[in-house]
Amino acid sequence: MGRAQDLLEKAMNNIKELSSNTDFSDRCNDGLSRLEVQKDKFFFQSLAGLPSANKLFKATEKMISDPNENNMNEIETVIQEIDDKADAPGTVLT
Amino acid sequence: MEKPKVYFMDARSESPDTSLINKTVTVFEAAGFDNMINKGDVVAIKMHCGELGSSAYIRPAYVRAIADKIKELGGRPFACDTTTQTYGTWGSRVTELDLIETAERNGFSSATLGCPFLSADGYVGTSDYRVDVPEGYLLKEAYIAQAIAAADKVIVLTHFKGHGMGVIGGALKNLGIGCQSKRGKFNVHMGRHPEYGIGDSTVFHPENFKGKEADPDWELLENCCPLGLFKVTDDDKLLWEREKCINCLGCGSWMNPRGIFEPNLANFDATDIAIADAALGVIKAVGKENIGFINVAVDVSPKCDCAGFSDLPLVPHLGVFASKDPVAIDQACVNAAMHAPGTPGSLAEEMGIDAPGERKFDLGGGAIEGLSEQTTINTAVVNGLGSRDHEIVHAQPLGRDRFAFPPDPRPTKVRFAKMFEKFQPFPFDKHDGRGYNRLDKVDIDAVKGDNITVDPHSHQDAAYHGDGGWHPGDDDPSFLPKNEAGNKDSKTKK
Repeated sequence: MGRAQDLLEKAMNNIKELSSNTDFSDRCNDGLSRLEVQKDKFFFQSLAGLPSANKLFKATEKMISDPNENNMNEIETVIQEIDDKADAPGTVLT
Repeated sequence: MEKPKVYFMDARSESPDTSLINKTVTVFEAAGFDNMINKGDVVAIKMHCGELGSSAYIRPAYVRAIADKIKELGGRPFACDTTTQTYGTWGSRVTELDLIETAERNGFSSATLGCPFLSADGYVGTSDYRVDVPEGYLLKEAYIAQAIAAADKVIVLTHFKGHGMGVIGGALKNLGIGCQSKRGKFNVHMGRHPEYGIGDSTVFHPENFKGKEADPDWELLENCCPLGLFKVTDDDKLLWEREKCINCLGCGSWMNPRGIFEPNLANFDATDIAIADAALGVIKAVGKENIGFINVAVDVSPKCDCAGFSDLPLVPHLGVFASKDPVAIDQACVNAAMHAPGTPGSLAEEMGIDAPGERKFDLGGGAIEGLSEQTTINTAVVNGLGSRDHEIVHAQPLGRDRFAFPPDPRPTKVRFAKMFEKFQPFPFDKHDGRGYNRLDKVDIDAVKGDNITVDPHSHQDAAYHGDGGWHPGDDDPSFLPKNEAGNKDSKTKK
């Protein structure tokens, strides 16, 4: 498994853990299902997705240590960023 | 054996002779390139003019300074780049016409450079000189851009940065890709190679094509290939004549995100190896004694100037380097980047490689995982091109008098006294010889702090009050704009 996928998986495990918090469980489960769609794409197989995976992992760690609305919003913002970027062409090879 | 020397000046600048542009000339001299150039020599300055949209490419003023220096030595310089493979779908340097137009948009012309800018491999990219490279680790021949192979001397003037495929874009890549003709680039990128070519080795998943209706960009899947090797059939099947693929890299950015291609690490690694062999081909074509390398390691963007955009630099400016050894100079730059902290907010931080001591380009430059910033450098050691081991020599500033304004190096009084007598730009005849209508004194501190402590309307006679409206004409009706009826409005509406 690549570095980006590995980090994404860690972030998803954190979100699974966070979903036990009843205040955020619906939003966490929604985020997880969105990430399931993206996780095997080239975006995460390549290095293109590593910054997003890194950002998501850090956001989930922050949420675990301090579960609140702002931190949950931050997680959702990164998930949205992943949705927006994962299918975009333009991976720079040359 | 004596270690090759790499002449270096850092990126700090506090006087004209320590400007980065003048430091580039200083390391040129320190490395002895002035002794290499004889009167009448035709000297190619190989640079990268940047893909349309990129902004970190070398500034024309660096090239101009080197061209001026070559002319001062009696040489006849020309700056050049080469045509590219088709690469992405909308390449801006694919033909000579594209290249020249892009170069001019990016600021490179004879007017800015003080010498012509040429496409070194002709209109299509087949003007070249074939050389055998028996010492090559993977390649056994290379195709060198004709204008470079034909030059008496070559200065390889490189903007040092990262690169998606090459991992680093340094002197070796400027030789191994930049000095190759288009024909030569297909060789280096492994076109039709039985093991490392995309056509032969890529895992193809046509089942991941979702069909015309579900994929609004489906026509680009056909149109991304210059040979037309992809076809979407009427019943929504994606076909690929893979045996004819020449590795132009035009399709990857469409196929990879859709999961139609699996990333092909071996193609990338093999290309990085081939870059070093092709670089050796240039040295053989030009002659080791006839070529010098300068790396300008500023704006160290993660991806190459061929990417069409330039991200925040991975590290702060590193400085300028010059050497006769392309391996040593690239290793010196890689080392400098490794020891530097990552730029806050850059990809280096996002990738977690921002700490000094972390390799910056494996993840910051490479497009796919598993690439190494050392592959090309190490291969160039293996094929005998140079040495990783080197000695850094700190070049000293040459003095500001060396860098006077070249068209007119006379001091101020000599240049302007007579002119100012004739056309005095200062209105001495106004306001008791003070020249201008200004207040004698204002509260300077009132506008220096975080808060403004003076009323916005307190200054005298101001037509513009900073409130979004323009209020000229309170004292002069000729300033008043006309309204629809052709009358004068007293004030413009906000």
